[in-house]
Amino acid sequence: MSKTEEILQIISDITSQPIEHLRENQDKVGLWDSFNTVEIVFALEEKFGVTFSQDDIANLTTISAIISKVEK
Amino acid sequence: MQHNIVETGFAYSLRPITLDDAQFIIDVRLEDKERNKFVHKISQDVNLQVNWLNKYFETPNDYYFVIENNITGEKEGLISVYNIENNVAELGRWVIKKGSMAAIESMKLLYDVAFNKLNLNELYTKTVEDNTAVVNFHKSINAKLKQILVDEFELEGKKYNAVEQFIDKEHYFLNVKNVLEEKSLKIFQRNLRIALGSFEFHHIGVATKNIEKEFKGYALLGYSKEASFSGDENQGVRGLFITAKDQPRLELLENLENSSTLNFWLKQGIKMYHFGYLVNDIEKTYDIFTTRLRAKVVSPMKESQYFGKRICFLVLNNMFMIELIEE
Repeated sequence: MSKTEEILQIISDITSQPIEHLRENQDKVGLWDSFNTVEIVFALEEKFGVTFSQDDIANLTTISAIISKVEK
Repeated sequence: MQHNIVETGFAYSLRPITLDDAQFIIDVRLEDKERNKFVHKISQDVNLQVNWLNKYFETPNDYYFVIENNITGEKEGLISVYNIENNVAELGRWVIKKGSMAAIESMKLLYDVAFNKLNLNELYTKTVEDNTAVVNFHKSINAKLKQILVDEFELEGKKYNAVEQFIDKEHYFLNVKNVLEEKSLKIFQRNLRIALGSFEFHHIGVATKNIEKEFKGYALLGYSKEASFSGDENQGVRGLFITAKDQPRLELLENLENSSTLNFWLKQGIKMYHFGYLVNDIEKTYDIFTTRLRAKVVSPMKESQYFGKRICFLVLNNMFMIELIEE
């Protein structure tokens, strides 16, 4: 499974939104609330061994932004 | 109103707002254009904000708080409870700095203040219906929907419906508090890990009257000798590190002659009396623990003859002792 697919799966599990819907709305802001943001940050940090700064988290507002940050 | 309520959580605390926070209110309220679509505009003029705060200080039943990070001391948001009537109040003026993880715990702290200190029975929020991020946040923490208020808000000349959500005292303690507390603890542990950089468990310190006699007992549990130090004059002890597969490293310690370092523990029959941690930056870690996390210094920083680096001993506010070891 590619990193992008893994990210989509994580966000789908946390937000209970279908992967297809997420894939089609990768640039859309507001797909999750700040409660889910915390869950997403924890899950991504654990899965990919990364640590997001406060500035990073401020910009993790879309799936595209997350993919770009994790793949850096 | 002027109040003196302070609520301290794991990662964040609430404290009363002061005039010195006027500029922060402006900065945090204006930093996010997306969010600003759903809140009343405020001026960038700090004097107007000071005037507003002075009026607020005279307003009864209005509690305005600054949300502060316990580790960095930085201000990360604002939150209020007001319009108190018949033990029911409104929660609002809630703004969190972009990228901050304070949302969950600040909400928990405010509910704790409302239900434990102000003895309220219910808190409700009114959010612009289009502000789905905030509406969904309250839904995520198990807030209940009370009603949709048609054309409740007017922003920039446009009317918006409001979603009124609420949590009552019983529901909070039964279904909400534990969820928020669990998340708050995880956030604190993450914040601390980031702040410390490195904080790696190394050993459990064991006070003994005689290292060799004590070792024989641990040998039965699979332990073998790893390394010893014959006499650390700085600490007044000699020691032996022992290890075993899938078990924590132990540091068996014994007083040097004429030393009383371990007597406090030995007299009480306490064997395991501290955890040791390797840290990258001992001064920063020492500073965070002593100034931010209310740990007390038992033994200030000094050179360890065994490690050849600085160590220090601190007592946490649960009275447990930890040793910081410079890597």
